Amino acid sequence: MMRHIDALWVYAVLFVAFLYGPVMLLPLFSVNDGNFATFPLRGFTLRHYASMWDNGAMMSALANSTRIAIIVAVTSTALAISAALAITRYRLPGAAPIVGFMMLPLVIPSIVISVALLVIIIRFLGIPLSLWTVTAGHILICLPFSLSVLMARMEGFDPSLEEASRDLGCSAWKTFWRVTFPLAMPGVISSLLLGFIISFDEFVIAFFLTGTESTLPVFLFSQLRFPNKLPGTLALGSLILVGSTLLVILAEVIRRRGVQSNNPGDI
Amino acid sequence: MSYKTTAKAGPRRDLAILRKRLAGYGLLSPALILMITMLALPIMALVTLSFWTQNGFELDRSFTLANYWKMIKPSADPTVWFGIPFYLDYPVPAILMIKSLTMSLVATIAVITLAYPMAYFLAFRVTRNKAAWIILMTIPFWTSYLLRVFSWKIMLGFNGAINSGLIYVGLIDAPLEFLLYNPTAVTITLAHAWVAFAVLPIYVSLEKIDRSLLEAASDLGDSRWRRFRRITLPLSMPGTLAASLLVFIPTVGDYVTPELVGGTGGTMIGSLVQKMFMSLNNAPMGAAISITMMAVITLLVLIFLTLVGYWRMRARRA
Amino acid sequence: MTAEPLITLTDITKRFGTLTVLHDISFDIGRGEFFSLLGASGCGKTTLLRILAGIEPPSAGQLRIDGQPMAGVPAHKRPTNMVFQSYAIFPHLNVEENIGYGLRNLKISRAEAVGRVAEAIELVKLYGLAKRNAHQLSGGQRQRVALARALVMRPKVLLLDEPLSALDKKLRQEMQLELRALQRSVGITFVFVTHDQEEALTLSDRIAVMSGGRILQIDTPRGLYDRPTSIEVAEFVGTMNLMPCTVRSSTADLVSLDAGAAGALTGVCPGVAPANGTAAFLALRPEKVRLVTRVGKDDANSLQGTIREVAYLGDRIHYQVAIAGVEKPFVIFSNAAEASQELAAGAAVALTWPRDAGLVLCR
Repeated sequence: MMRHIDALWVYAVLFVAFLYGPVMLLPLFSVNDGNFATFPLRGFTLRHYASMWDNGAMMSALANSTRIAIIVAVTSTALAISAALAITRYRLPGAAPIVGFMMLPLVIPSIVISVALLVIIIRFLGIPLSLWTVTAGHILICLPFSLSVLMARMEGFDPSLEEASRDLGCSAWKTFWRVTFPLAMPGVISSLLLGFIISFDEFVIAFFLTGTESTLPVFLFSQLRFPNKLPGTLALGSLILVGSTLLVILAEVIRRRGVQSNNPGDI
Repeated sequence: MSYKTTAKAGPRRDLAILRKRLAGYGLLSPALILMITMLALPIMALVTLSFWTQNGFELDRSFTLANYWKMIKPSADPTVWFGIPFYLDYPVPAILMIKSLTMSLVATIAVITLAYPMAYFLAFRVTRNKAAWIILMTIPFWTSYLLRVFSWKIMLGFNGAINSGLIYVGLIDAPLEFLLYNPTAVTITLAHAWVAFAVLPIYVSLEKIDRSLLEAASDLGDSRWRRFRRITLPLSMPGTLAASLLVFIPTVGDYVTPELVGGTGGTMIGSLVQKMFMSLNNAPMGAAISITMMAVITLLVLIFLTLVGYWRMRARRA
Repeated sequence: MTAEPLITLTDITKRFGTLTVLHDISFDIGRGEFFSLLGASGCGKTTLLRILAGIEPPSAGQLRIDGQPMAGVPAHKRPTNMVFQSYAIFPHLNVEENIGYGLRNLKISRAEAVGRVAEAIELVKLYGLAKRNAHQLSGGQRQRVALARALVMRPKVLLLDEPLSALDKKLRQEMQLELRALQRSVGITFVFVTHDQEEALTLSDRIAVMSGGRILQIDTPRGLYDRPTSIEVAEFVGTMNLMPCTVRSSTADLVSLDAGAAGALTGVCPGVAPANGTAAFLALRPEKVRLVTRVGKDDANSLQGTIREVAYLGDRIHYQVAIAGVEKPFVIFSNAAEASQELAAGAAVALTWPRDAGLVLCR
């Protein structure tokens, strides 16, 4: 019995090491005082980070990505709140296939989504590519995530809470703002954060749909080809990793806290 | 007591239900319209484009199956790839398709093999700080795919961490060239990039198993291993299947990984699609390849699900 | 009923798709009444309550509350308030905010609202818990919050959906008494849904027994127990022993029955007596039957049986007595002080009861 636990524990630790090991090379080499990602390490430096601030292209890509990610997070969350409400609160015929359809972006390779959007935008609608086309593509891929987070949240609480509110004199609209929305809040925040991260880190769609301006991952990708840009790329990559990690932890903690305080019935 | 029957109650109620449904569809419509205009219509546009042809800079809009025919047009003179003769005039899409499917399949098998014990550990061994463990599994999935793939390039590169490390400790004299830019590197990177994604669905299906079923199996004389094989494994099958599909489907069409660590030998079908749309300027051909890829994946998934008896599993659950 | 009823239901029918869960329900509920809907789960009682609240619309039929037709009046505009089975305490609000939730929808001043909440907290004895969060409350406290939250609205009708089912037995009995006292003091009409017949008997002025979407009988607790009009009600409310018989003849106050090998028996019929020759049952409450070793001269009805089981319950003893030709053994309650040592398992005994103690019921 004891040995069994040990073996699995060892496996779990190795698994985590495998999962995180390669990515840890980025921050490791980003503070290495050298121009190549090679051993032996030469000494600690922050100069790669300091030089980032002077990189205008990088800063504008960062600004672009941030702006897109905020618009995407807010839009996909708003659309998902409304859709999740419809699916969980109204007995709609055909809701199941509609949900299935809306989850499709999860299983379609992003290159197919990218070229399909590219085709309709350029060939059929004749709209020039810009950051807006990237934004639209990102909303599409974020929506299934927002929808599943919010549906889970809204299915999670007792429907009689809303009935009670109606019974106590609130209209449907008032009930939404006084009961449904506050209770869905952890899901809303988690959807906002996840939407932000997905959009901020997304590369393929942005690569295909962007015009002359680039997002941070597209910029990063263009830098990866140049060995002499490596240290700056490592520094930027490390910052992105740290930022995303913090946001994911925040999103998960909020979501989980929500799930726990969600069962008022059992103590 | 005597009462009047109200004939109007029926229609009025129908109206109320209709109004409620309309409100529901109204709430649903913004998201649905977005999905239709940005997913259904583009896919239809892609299908349409695949029936057109590109002549230099001119797009010929007359309907033709030429792009599809080009992919399967036979040739007497075979192109041999890994000892397999392809009797095709233009064998590149077919070869890349089979290569991508094989690499994804290997990566998926590796992912499930690696993820299952971890999910089992999470479900049955972790008692304290479970949330922390789960977040630890979630983080890699959400953080930049590009950077996770790039980290393998740093690791496996000619001047990368492994080579420089091995030279530094004196195990080798010159960098090993076979580490990067080949199908194996792509497969390993794919497996690593997607493994965290598979842990959670498997974990959820293991977590849902009623512990009393396991106690009952032991009580009826099953050893640990038999109990695992007869109870745990079958009951966690739906989650495991879901995980394997969620890894397999997107990886077939992956573009980032072959681009960064694949080199010329490790290209996949996604790279070809990208080339068709960009440098080769043959979007209709690219569209035809994308559609064929989707069709092949869908077909394989359906065959796979039928073979493992997924439909039966689902019926039993319902 | 002499006074104008508060609630009138006329031919209320409810269908979910092709499934009809309520069939032409019609009855009245009086002002200030404690009225219970009693039935097993799935009998339609909760659906009926939700129709009263306006949460579900009826498929057909008419509902009036205080003379006003309720068709098309949504839940938030009805003079009814509900105590939900799950209590539906808003988890993001504290006790005070929960109780005051609905007052914001009434046109009353803040000061009055504060006063009313304080009053309600007093009424349900939640002193000192005003600032508590929902998840810090015990089951009994949650129930009180739900009650106060509805009562503070001063509804014409308070609807209660199995409000005591989540509480343990002891707390449930305490709350029953409190609920009854509360209803008397506020004077509001209560419509109470329960599957627990003992609870319904304890609390109610009148009870509607429901089954399969239909009302079987509406009566006072005493009336339901003493004069059930159907075998279903008889078996649902309390314990009932059934002896299959054939009606031989009937007068205005007594029915003569033929119980085959067991001989002739008599009973009374609560409604119109069935025609001669009809197959019927003589229904006997366990405490109306006496167990004796020998039949006396003045015992009007008697049956022979064998004791199967004896269960000693302190103040009384339960006997199970097998009767020839009857599938289910009779259950007899007798006072422990009067019990004879001879009445042990396996003993042959006689069951006797007065001529009007049994009810004649048809299937």
